[in-house]
Amino acid sequence: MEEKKITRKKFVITSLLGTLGLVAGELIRQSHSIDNIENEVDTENKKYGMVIDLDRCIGCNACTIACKQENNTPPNIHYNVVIEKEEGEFPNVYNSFLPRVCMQCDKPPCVKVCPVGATKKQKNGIVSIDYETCIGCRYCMTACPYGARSFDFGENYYDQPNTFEASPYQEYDKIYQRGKGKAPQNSVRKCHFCSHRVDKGELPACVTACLGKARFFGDLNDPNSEVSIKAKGSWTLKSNLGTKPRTFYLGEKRDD
Amino acid sequence: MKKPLDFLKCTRRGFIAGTATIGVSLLNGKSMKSVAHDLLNFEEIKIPTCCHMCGGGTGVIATVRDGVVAKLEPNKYNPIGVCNTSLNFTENQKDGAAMCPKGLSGIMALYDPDRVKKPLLRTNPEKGINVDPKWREITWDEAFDIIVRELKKLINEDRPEALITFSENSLATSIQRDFGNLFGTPNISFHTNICSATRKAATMAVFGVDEPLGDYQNSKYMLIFGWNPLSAVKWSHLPQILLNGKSNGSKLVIIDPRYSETAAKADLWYPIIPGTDGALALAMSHVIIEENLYNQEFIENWTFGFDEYKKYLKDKTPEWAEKICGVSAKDIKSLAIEFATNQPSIADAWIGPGQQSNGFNSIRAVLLLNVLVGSVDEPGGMMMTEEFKLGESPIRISPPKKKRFDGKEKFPFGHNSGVYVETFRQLFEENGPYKLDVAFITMSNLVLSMPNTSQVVEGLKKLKFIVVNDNYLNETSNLADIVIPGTTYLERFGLVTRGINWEYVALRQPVIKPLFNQYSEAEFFIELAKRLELKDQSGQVAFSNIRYEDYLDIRLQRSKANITLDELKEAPGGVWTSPESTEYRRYEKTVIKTETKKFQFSLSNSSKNISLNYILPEYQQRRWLPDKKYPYYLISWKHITHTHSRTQNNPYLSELKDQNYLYINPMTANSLGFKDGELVGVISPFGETKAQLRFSPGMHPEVLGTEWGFGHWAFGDYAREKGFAVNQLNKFLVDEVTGQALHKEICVNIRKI
Ligand code: SF4
Ligand code: SF4
Ligand code: SF4
Repeated sequence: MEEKKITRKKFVITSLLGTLGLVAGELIRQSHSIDNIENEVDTENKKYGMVIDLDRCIGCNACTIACKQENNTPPNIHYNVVIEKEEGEFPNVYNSFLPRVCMQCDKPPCVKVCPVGATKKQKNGIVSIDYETCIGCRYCMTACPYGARSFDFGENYYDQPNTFEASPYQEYDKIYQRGKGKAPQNSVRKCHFCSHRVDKGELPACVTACLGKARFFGDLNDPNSEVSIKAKGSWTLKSNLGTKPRTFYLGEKRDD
Repeated sequence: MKKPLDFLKCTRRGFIAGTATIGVSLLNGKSMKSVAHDLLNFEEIKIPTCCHMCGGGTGVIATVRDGVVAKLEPNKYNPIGVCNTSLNFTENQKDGAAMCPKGLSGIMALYDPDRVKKPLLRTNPEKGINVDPKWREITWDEAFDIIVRELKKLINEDRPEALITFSENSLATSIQRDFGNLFGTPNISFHTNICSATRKAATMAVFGVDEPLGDYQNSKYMLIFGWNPLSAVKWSHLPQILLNGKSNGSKLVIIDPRYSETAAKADLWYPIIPGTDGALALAMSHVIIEENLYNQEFIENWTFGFDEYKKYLKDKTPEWAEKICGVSAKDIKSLAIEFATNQPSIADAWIGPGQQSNGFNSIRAVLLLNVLVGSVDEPGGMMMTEEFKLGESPIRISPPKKKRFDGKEKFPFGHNSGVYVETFRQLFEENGPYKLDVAFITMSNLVLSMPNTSQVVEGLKKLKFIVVNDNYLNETSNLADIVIPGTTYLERFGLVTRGINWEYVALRQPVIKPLFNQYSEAEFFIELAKRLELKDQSGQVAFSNIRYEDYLDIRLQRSKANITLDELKEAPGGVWTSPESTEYRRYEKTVIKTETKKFQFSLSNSSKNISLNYILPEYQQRRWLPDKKYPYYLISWKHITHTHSRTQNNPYLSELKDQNYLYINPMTANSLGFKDGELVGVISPFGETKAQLRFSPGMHPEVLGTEWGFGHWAFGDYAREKGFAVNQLNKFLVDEVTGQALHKEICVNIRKI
């Protein structure tokens, strides 16, 4: 076996649960009417948004894996995670699954702190990272209250990256191929609503694969789009922070 | 300096232009070549196929970029992943199809560097759990020569039955049967009897079909015993149809000793004592009859044995069941009334009860709830699903007359996949009807997936010659004499049919050439038959002019689809679906395939030599119960992240779940002084292993539980030395009616280490 895998670290979800355990614990939810959003958006453009229906999420992580193969993310980098939490006392038990992507905040704290302007709010609502400009300072990782960002240390699943890991793939409007020191290695990475797919008229990979059909994606500027309709009565994570997420949640409303 | 690849410096428009062709072209079974983008010199092809990371057969579209499989996505032309009835298919298709995380991780299985790439020959004659086989790579010709030599010995000694095969279910199944017939051995066996043979037997006994599935999307009440369809997802449309049912207003009720992922979505969850599902279902039936809520007309016209059943149920009161199953009499009563009055309803049970010694009767009792209320083959009821049948094999040969080694005939509802437990018990105890010398083991890790690991290993050691055909080296291949590299589902052909409620057949095809130029599993058996010059009925050398693709082509043409393989390749998504839509109440038009040609509350007395307590679905305690020394039930289940014991080396799936835990109710743990995360010894009368405890308030306090498939010691790096296997703790326990392996019938204790 000529190729061997690198040392394995404890799965990132575990560590994210650390950061996000907090988030999950203190989710402050607020009903969000679609009208509010419309006022904020640039009506000339498409403004993308995602709605995740927690009543339909079964915690399967098909989204996590679909995203991994779409964006060829290395070990420990997951643009999408599903936070699972079992609570209560037998037999009154409650289990929740919370998929977390980048919220594509309309007031993104991550953008503000970037010293080189590598991370930007695009007109279509997506918060992007320019891997070539990113200097890897990771300020944005600290600034993001959702733990949506991670740093690509250049690790691969195998010491000698396997055929798939080493093959060209697309993110944003560029083609990348993993190789020593080449972007996106040494850059910060995160979910970008699969902007390269969306540009081609496709849905994000996680939405396409979702096993529970719990995820909806589209143009929030179009009041008739499925996602706009679904977004009615939705809520957002940590809405008290004023980040104005473009990722909305339905269902599982419980008083924390 | 970080830079994207120079040759890939392209404008986005360029890239989009290159791929747009794919978007508009109708996806059909043939590879669609997009115009390669000049600047990128980059060719992208989309090829439909069917998944085989588990037996589900979900529809897949693979994207191949410059010869590398770059992406797997669901295939919305394939019912598996969309819907089980044609009536909701188009509606569901609008939301696209679905694919589970295992299927999506198929690329990492394909490009796993740990794969077996060349045939391997054992050079160390000593065999044992931790003995290094000292593999030596050999050529394909050498491998075939050695195998042919071993098989010729059996032919020369006129003992072809000394060959046995074990295989994953839906892989080269009929080719292996043909091979067995040509060679003259009856011992061709498959995985089902260590999986769901009890449910199949129970559904055959009650309905006369072997895999009915509820029309969940249109149901009003879904009552599920010991099944976790939202995590033990097999067909990727299962979550959708259940969740759609829920959003259509149906109630979902889960009966399970643990708070499963499905229970997490349920309106009600009743934790039950393992192995007592039958008692609960009988008491519900008692109430339904007592309250006159049964469907008299349906029962009169379409069922057999109601009066005896009614008589038997007389004293099966909720109070009686409460003491057995731990669900209160009051709850049982209200469950029964709700089930009967919210029509259409579905009651189903799978291998939770099924892998215990009273499973056949328990599952029948559950299924009979549907019969009582007449929710059979009705919209929103239990559907009499039947799998599409391919046409006859082109190989003409009748089965050998010899008796099977595993004594399958002795099991009144024995499954035609065989009886693995009996095979291994007899191998180990050396008391089989005759000697077995040679085994072919295809894509099956018997050492980890059979109860009673240590004796399975000893049993395998008694065979003279073992050929393992697999993608990986593992615990079983470690005992082999030759290992043949297998294919992943992305490298091989097949025709996929599954039980849905209108007929379909889908193409599985290599989306790239087999990476190591290896034979697919089916081709391996064909090549072997050719080299052995096995003759068919007419004396011709079988397969001399038939490739596997021809074989599939002929069977497809002879099927109801009546199309060629090439035509199937051309069909959208590589799928043929019947123009006839889902039909309800088929029993009104066709004969019910039970012995009495009715839906059966009771088996007929003449039935199959079965002992009397199986005529009616009587409640009997399971055989192995907790006692002072081993006070806890140990249950085990399949989690969405893994298929049995074969996916633990997949780095994506390993990141999602890289080990199993021993789940314990915190109340139980605290009373015993154990801490969350503590490493403990798990002991049964038959073995001991170590496990990491994890507190879970959703575990019944008398029950411990864990996920399957972990505890590897000889698989790849990602899989090795993580977690434990329950099969180290049980014995050769087999269901006497069906031959099913009883993985869930274990009692244990835990101790400090
Ligand atoms: S979720 Fe985090 S990374 Fe995403 S836009 Fe908001 S602050 Fe930035
Ligand atoms: S939208 Fe795309 S990038 Fe974001 S989580 Fe989903 S698959 Fe990943
Ligand atoms: S794929 Fe869908 S159902 Fe599964 S975890 Fe992700 S969001 Fe939830």
